[in-house]
Amino acid sequence: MKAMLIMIDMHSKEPIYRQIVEQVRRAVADGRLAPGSELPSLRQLAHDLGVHLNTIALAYRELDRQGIVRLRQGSRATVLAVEPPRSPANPQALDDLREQLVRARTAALLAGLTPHEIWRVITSVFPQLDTESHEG
Amino acid sequence: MPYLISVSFILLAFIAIMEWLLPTLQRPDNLFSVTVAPDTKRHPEGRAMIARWRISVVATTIICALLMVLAIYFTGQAALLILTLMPVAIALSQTVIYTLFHHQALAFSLPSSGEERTAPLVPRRYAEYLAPWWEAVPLAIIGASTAAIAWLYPGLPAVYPIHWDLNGQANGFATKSIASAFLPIWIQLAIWLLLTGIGVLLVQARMASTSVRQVGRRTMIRVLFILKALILTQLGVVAVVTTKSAIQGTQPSGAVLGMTLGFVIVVFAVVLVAFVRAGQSGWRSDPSAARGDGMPDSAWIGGIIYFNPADSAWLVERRGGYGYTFNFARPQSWLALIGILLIPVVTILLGIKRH
Repeated sequence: MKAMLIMIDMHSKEPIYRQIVEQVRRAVADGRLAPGSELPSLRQLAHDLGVHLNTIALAYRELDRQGIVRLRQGSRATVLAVEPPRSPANPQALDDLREQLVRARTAALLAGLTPHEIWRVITSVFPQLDTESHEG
Repeated sequence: MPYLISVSFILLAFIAIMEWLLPTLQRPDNLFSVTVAPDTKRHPEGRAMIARWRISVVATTIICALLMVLAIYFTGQAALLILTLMPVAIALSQTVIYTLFHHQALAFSLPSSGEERTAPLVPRRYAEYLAPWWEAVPLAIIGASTAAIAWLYPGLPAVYPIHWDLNGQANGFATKSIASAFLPIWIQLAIWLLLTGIGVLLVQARMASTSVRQVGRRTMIRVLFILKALILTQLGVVAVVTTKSAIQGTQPSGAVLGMTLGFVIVVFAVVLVAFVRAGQSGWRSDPSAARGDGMPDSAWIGGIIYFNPADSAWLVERRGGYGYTFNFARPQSWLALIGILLIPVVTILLGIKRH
């Protein structure tokens, strides 16, 4: 069984509910949380993390709004299917990715990282790219 | 009386062994309820502290044992009083000593305990820890006891003894009715409900949750199940034996007391073996459970009482020992505590009404 754990930092500037949203999103994107799998109940997660029930409710509602999970009255939150790879790609998603990469490039160049270091980081974040470069 | 003294000595030995082992069974990052670096217990200072703790445990145990030996020379009420107060005295003295060690251990405290918290992102269900069909075992024990008493029922006299003093003299009687003859069955059912309910609650309790395997919780729920089966068997056998002797007009044999003694030994052995194998949070069989429980040290009053208004959990794993405790900053905890305290009070009140 994969260690499907969530970790939050109580002293981070980022609100706790945002940390939870981000970690669930990551787990779904990585495939650690498969479509159809259930998230813990609000109470279980609130008790395990020692935070208020409303914080978890807020995180779950945000995940529902983003289309990551589905909330239904009386049952646990379930993970929805991830969009399958498609061609042509969703133009909005491509624009979002480009914008974020431009920001990341600016930060990397200002920090004085070398192209080799940047490529190492990129392939560690996107292992798929590394495989393709070897294949190509 | 010899049985009562034997049980008291077994209890004392059990507590002494558990307290002696306590520092090594607690998670490596937990030194007397203080969050410390995981190698602290191996450092000379940590080792010296554990050695001093063990000397204190031995000293308290010897004092209590000597007091109990004294109790043997007293007779009647005085001896009974000493033996009744002894567990309270042992618990109280160990608590005071633990709190003193907790305050000393604060010197090793890590500054940032309780700030990084982890939780499994998978739902937990009682059935994952204990398959529902296992409940057939306690229910079968209750069923067998019911069948045995139903078979004996026609032979019961109109008035029969149901309670005996330590010398074997009957001091409580009942008139024959379905309610009185089957009282042990109602008690069995109530205990089954209570212990199963506690098991279900433990699934939601907070433990050091860096482990997805949740070995500590699994151990707790299974130990609770074994104890449930043992208690129900013990109750069933006692009910059948006393009903039989009521029919024959004889005193229940000493075998009942002997069995009770054996029962106490088995119960303690099960608990001891389970905790030595699992350790607090199950860290001995699952090292990934060996990190932090996400609770700030400052919320553990004296290292024993948990009071944290910022924590939504009301049932949490104990820092200062084995098992679970309440978060006393939550109203649910007080309700549960009152509920638990009501059980003996109601039992006593019912007893008074019967007399």
